[in-house]
Amino acid sequence: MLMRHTIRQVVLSITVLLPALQLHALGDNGRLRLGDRIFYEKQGGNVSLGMRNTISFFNDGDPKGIGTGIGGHFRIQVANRVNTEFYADVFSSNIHNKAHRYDYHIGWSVMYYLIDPKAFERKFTPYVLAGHCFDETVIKINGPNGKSGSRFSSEVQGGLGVSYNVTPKFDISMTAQYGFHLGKELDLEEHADGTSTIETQRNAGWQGHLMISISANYKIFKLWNRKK
Amino acid sequence: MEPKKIITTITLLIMVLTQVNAQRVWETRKGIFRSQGNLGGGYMIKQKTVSAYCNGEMELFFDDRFAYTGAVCFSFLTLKKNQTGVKANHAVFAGANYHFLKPQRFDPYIGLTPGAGLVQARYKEGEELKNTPYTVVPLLSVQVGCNFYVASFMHFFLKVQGVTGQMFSTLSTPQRLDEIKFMGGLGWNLRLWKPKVRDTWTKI
Repeated sequence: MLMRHTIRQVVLSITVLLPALQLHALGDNGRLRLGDRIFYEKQGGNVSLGMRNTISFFNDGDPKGIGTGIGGHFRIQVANRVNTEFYADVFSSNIHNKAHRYDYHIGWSVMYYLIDPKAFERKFTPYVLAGHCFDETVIKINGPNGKSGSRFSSEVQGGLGVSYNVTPKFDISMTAQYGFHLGKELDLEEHADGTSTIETQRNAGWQGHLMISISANYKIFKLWNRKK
Repeated sequence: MEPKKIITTITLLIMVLTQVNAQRVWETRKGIFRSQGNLGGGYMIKQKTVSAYCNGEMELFFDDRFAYTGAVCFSFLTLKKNQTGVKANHAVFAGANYHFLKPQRFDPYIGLTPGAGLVQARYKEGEELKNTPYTVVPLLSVQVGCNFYVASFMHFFLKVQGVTGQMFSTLSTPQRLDEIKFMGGLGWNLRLWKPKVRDTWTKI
């Protein structure tokens, strides 16, 4: 009887203590300095640095035209749901084992998080992004004396992405974007006699490619909304 | 030996080893600079040849789990006199590592480390053997590794790195640079700064 009474007492004590502990925790939060609150609640000002591996598909509409490349970027977050990305990348593609192509990009994108990242405590944060870049394309026919041609153009790109937030400061992001090259078209023309030439056509249309990039990003510091 | 004794010995050993493993060398990894230099080997998948490297690597911890990393890889000539293939495959890599466990002696990690190669190949033109000029090649790379900290200033490491890329240069057909690299050795650690107590990212 005494034992049963003791257990009852313990259960009762825990039941009474639990809300008290909760209150204590709330009290702790209540004591957070204003500077800290701004730091955690307002995500604007986050600057992150990332590196990425990029794969480019459908170069100029060719399903076999797959390129691989690398790049780096930094992100400046402007609001809780809006981020910006400034990047540079380079990738190379094989054109039917007859020529190859290098694409150099430098540009920027605006990212909008589809759901509130909640200070990146959420594990998955999907986003849409769109932007613009400058693009230098060089095509060279394979071989020691292969001719080459280049084109400098502009590109607009847009797509979808998702970040996996390993910690609130560190994320791995995967992005799929389609990019349209604006301006002159640069192509490898394969002739019936087996020879190839590089042709440039003015205003021939929009060339494009699908870029999939996997990046690792870390928030290094805050430009504004900093801890006081 | 009796089965009871064997079980007891194994249990005791596990307890001791787990205890050693769980010992912390640092309270926090943030601010640690980790460096390592070693000789390593590789296997080029398409060419089915082995390669050899002198590798230098550094890592800078921005928090307990995350570190920026960079590496320089100098390759040794492993081609025979009349063999065609990749003659030189030097590379630099830069990226990020994620460390799975809280600071302790045993420290496995995974990394994304894109890089650039400085590559030279030997090819046949007619009966003549020729070398391409050194060419810069983008390289995709991921790595997994594990460190074991003997002391706060020293550790042993093992690392496997997967690299992929392609070289064109003056070759008539592109040369694949897909490779698995194996590295291991001794590394050194240095604390560059001590994190402030409030310098953490916590939930409110």
